[in-house]
Amino acid sequence: MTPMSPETTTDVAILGLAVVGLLILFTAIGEALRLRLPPGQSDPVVEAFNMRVHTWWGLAILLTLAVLAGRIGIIALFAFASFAALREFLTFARKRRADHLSLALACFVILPLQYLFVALDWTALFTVFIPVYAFLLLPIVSALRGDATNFMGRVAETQWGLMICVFCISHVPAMMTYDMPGSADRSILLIVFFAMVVQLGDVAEYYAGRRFGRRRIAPDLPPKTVEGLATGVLAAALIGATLSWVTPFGIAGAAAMAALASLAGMFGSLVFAAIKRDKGVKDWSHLIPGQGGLLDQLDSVIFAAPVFYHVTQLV
Amino acid sequence: MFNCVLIDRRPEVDDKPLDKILEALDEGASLIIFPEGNRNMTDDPLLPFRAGLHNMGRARPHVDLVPTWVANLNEIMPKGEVIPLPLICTVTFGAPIHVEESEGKDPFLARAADALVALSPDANRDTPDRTGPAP
Repeated sequence: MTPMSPETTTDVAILGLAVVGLLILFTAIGEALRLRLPPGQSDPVVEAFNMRVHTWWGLAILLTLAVLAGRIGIIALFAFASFAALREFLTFARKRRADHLSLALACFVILPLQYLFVALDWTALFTVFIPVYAFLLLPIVSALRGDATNFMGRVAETQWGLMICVFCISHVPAMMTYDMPGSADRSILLIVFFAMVVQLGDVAEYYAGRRFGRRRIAPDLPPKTVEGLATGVLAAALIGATLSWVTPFGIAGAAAMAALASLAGMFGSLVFAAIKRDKGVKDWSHLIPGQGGLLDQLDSVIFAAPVFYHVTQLV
Repeated sequence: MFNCVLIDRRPEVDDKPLDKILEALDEGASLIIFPEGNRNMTDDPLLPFRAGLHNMGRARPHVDLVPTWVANLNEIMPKGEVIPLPLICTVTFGAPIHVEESEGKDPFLARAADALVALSPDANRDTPDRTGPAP
C-alpha cells in the first residue's frame, strides 16, 4: 500500500484534532451538567448524554485507528460492524431449522465476499451480488430443506438483514473507490466527513426534538418530530459546509450532500423504530453500554450510506 | 473444563444416576440440569420435563431449583447441524422453586415448566409476538 500523501496526512490530522476538540467540549458540557445537579441526584437525560459521549470517544478512536491503518483498516472495521449488525438482526428475524444453512451462508460466505469485492474494487459485482445473487441463492437453499411454514416471511427477513447489515453498510468503505480530484487517497476523508455529518445531525435532531418538538412525523412511533428533523438537517448542512474543505464538492455542494445524507439517515432511524416496535424489542442488544446494540447506533448511517455513495458517483 | 456428573445412558448399565446427583448436591455443588432430557426439535417452547427433576427436588426439598432460560440456543446449533450461527444468546434467571409437600410429579413438572417458559423472550415482549411460527 502506498503511504498517504503529505496533504492528506495533514488533513487527517486536522480533522482528528477537530473531532478530539469536539469530544472534549461535549465531555465538559456533560460533566458541567452533572455538577450543576444537587449532590446525590442524577438526571436521566444528563446520564444518557454522558453515555452517548463515551460511546463517541470509542467510535472516534476506532475510526481513527482504521483511517491510520488505511484502506484495509477501514474495510476490516466495517466488515466487523456488518457482522455484529447482522448477528443482532438475525437474532430477532423469523427463522426455522430449514434456514440454518442459508443463515450460515449469509454470515460466513456472503458477508466476507461482499467486503472482498469492496477490497478488490469490483464495483459491478459489489452492487449486484446481494440484491441479485444472494437474493436468488438463499431461498433455494432454504427451499431444498422442504419446510414451507412461513416461507415467504423467513426468506424476506433474511434478505432484508443482508441488505441492511451487509449491502448498505459496505457502501461506507466503498466510498473510498471514489476518484477524488488531486490525490487519490483523499477519498478516505469522505468517510470521516460522512460519519460526522450523519452523527452530529442525529444529535441535533434528538435534542432539538426533545426541546421544542411538537408535530410528530409518524404517529405512534418514537419521538421524531418535524422540528427536530428540520434542526438536524440544518445542523448537518452547517457542519457539511464547515467541513467542505475535505471534500471536492465546494461549500454549497458539501452542505447539500450533508443535508441529504442526514435526512436519509433520520428516516432510516424511523424505519428501525418501526421494526423494533413490530418485534417488541427496545434495543437490538446490549453491546454498547447505555445505547443498546450496534444497529441502534448505526441505523441512520445504514440508510444514509448508499444515498451518499451514489451521489458522490454522480458529481 | 467442565465438572460433570457423568451418567451412562446405555440401557444395560444400572448405576442409579440419581444417587450420583444427590451425592454431588450433598457435597455443596450446584448442578445444571436440562430437564427436557434432549434437544427440542418441535415448535413447542419446551419438551415435556422428565421425572428426574421431581425426584431430585423431592429427595432434597431445601435445594433451590432456579429456572434458567437460555434464549436462542436451539437456533444457534440445532441437533444435526454442523455450523453454529453467530446469534445473540441471552440467559435469564427466575425465582427459585421447590417441590411442595405432597405435590405430585405431574403438577410439579408442569409448574416448573411454566416458571421456565415465563422467562422466555416470547413471553416478555411488549407487544404480542408476531415472529414465532404460525399456529
